[in-house]
Amino acid sequence: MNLQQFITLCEEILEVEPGTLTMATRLDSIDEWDSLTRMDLVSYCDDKFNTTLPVEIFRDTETFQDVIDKVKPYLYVTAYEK
Amino acid sequence: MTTVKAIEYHFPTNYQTNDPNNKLTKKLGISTRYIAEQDETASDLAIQAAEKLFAKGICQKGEIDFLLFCTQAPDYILPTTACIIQEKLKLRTSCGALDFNLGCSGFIYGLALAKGLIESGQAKKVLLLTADTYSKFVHNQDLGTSLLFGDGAAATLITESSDEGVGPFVYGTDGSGAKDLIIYAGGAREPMDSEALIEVADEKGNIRTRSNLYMNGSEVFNFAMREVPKAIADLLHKEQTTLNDYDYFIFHQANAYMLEALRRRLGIDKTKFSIQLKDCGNTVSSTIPIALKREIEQGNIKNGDKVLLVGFGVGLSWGVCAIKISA
Repeated sequence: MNLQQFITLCEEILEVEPGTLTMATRLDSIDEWDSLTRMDLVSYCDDKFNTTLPVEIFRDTETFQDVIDKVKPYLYVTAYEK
Repeated sequence: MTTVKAIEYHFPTNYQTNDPNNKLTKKLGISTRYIAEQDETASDLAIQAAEKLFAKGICQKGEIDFLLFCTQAPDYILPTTACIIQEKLKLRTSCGALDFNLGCSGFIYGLALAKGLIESGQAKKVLLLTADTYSKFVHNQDLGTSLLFGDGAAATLITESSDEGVGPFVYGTDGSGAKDLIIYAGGAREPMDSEALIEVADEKGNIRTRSNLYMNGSEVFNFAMREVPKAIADLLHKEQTTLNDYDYFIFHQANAYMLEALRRRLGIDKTKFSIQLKDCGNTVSSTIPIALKREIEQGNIKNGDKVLLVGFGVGLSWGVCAIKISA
């Protein structure tokens, strides 16, 4: 799973328009962001990309930047990404 | 061969309402949950369900060869609650009776035990009672469990038949997840004492004691997402079928969100997928028979239909089986 795939997945699960999630997006401003969605996100990563994340990985997150920081160690970076 | 002949279910009178404005309530799909009285046990509910079944006249009490009682809330540590039920229902004394302790997978395992008894020639008519009263275990300030579980019971009559109506089965067990759905205190490992009644708040602000039900929701969610599709794939392989060969799907009614996540993942059509928990919540081992009965009553499952049943939960334990509906 790379960064873009993960962001696209988040947009789908959180039911927001593609491209609207920015690093500054506050999670409490997104209706869909709750404990159930966080579980779903983890199981989707496993199912779609074979990326197994710790189940509580997204628990203490406030902004989308926090989410990305937590998931970063699990992403593979393609040769063209920084 | 074996068939599921009849199902009846029973709820306590009292109910609690989940806050309709709570966002989680909407996602869980549970509006109300039935709650047993202080002096009303799981066996009381089971007896009511069984009496409804006998009142239908499909089978006489004296014809029952074996009574199976699935609960995690027995009347006593001993004797076996099924023996007490035998006497209260006035089943004959030459009838076998046993309890088995399973939760959300219990109905599948009960069907399996009944099939084994029938097809080995030990019984012709088996009464499977499933009943639980998790409300007695749940702390009402623990949102992880208090919005989900409701009390209830189901009575299922399983009989010998000329058509194959039950099976095959796929089972699964993973005791490494025992800690994810547990009541720590009250058994032999951790006897009940004053410490078991001390309330502790967890990091999310939910309050529990050692004698209350604890559930690690995210671990259980992930377990279901991981194991249920695999177990279903195993059953399809065993039966040499595809998902298209089944007319309806009844999964353990854990909560609507988890069911929807499983349905999407497996690519099952919404019109073939049972969601029956709005009024009663997660009734543990009775969710599948309750949903099955309702889908038949509502005309969504018809005579001759092939239905896939999936139980999964506390243990961790899971089971999948196919049944064929016959009048």
